Amino acid sequence: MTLRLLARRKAALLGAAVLGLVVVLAVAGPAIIRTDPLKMNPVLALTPPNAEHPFGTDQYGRDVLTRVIAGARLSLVTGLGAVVIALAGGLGLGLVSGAAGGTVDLLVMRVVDVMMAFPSVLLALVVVAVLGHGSTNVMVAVGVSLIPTFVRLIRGNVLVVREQPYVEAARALGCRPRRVTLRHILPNIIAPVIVLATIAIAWSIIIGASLSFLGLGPRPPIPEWGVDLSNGRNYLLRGWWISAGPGIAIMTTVVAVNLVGDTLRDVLDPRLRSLTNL
Amino acid sequence: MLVSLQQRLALAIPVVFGVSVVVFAIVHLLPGDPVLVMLSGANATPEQVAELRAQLRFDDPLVVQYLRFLRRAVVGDLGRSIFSKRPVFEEIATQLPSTLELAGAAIAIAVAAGLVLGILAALRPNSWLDRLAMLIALGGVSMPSFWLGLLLIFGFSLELGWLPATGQGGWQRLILPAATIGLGYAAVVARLVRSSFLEVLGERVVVLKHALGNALIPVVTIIGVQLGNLLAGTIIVETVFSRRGMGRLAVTAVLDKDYPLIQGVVLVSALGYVLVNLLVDVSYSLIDPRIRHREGAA
Repeated sequence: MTLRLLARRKAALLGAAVLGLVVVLAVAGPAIIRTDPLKMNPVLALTPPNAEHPFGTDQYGRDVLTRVIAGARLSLVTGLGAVVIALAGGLGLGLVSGAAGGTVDLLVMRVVDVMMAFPSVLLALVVVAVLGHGSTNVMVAVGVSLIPTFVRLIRGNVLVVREQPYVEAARALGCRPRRVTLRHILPNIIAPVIVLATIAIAWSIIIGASLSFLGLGPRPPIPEWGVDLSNGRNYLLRGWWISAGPGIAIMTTVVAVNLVGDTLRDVLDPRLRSLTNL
Repeated sequence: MLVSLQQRLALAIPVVFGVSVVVFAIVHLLPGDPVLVMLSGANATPEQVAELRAQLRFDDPLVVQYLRFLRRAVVGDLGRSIFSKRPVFEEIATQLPSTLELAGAAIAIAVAAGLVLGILAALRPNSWLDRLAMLIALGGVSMPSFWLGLLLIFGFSLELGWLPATGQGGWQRLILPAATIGLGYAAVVARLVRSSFLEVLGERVVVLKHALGNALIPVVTIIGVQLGNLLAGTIIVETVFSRRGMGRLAVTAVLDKDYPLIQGVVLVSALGYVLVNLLVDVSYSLIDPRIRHREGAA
């Protein structure tokens, strides 16, 4: 049903197709492109885009398109991994907080309030400051910084669903709290969570690439979109294409994720409009 | 009004306490010997290690250390930067005005551009203008600020030569970084203005100024909600445009592992964010009488 509704919308189809292409490139990229993203060739340094190098080459003569395709893997893994972390933390805390209520709820929500006092990039920066640089740490940092948003959404929905007659009936029949939460509450709050998780992938890719751009992620010469964009900064005049490749890649992927996410939201849970507009 | 202010202040107190604990914990969560980690980037001599160890007094119980940290922070003593050796408070005080200036200009651009785009889109719903405006809005939401910043530098500084690319001083150097942050939020404002404008126009209010007044309330709300992220946006944009400011200070501190400076910047930023949110909350009830009445009834 949902899939059929999604398929009827052109924008979502386009987004899904682009996203599918990016995923295929990320997974099978190294098999498709036979050039080495790390291979330097000083003779070809700063070659503008041409038939042989459609995205040009960088200051070391490395093929920009090859690096963009190779970088897709790390950028997507960071985005998806961060959302998995945020989802795990958000589901755990949000379900417990909403279902248990009382002191537990109060405590969890105060912790979330404190986390919310740090804007996400700042919170991610704090986590990187403690854990150190590197792509895994950036992924953890972005994931942690998104946990409060997930907890709030999940807890809010749990509070609504737990008052429904069918949940009360399950309780009256003698179901244990854990079973009530996992079997009766969780399946009924999953739609808005899926929507948020989809849109959060876009946020994660942007925040992850931002941290890499600032020099806190993987180190050069590892191909990664944020790192490569930063690399091209000093060559804007002589080689604008060095930054353009990864820049266009990030933007296209994020637009695609947003198109799918927006449509999912309209189909699954239109009430989320205010949240995902942010 | 006074009651709601008191309630909000009471809610903010545990948050401020939590923020202070998190900032205090940054150093204590470091893997290994925090003193060695803190000095690892500074090529420190054994004397410097001993000096910092004596200064930080890590052997005291954690509670004692926390209370000492708190007592000092309250009077503005946030320690000294490991690199510049200057007091952290002084470092922050010299950088903060630049960030506030940038944030103010960014908000102005976000509201102005967002209103124009949103109203144009709402006046002719589903026309090509509406689609174009919403396409620009989608682009704005999906565009990482560092990429937009580089595009603006490339277009307006390097190619056209209209504006300086980097540095400090004068409104000319403020436009591009402020536009980089502001245009992203203009997209959010535009989407919001469009939908709330459509709602108001649907109520057969035809005079623009009436529709505008009502449509502005959610815009104020969203600017308030987004202020923290807007300030976080300065972290990236200040680096792209090589501007002085709190954001660049934070990044340099993390790259240099200058932990007293990290603690200071994070503490001031988070407390500033809490304070701004408090002010925004209170200002709603001033702007929108409905909220005031609801609170009065509650």
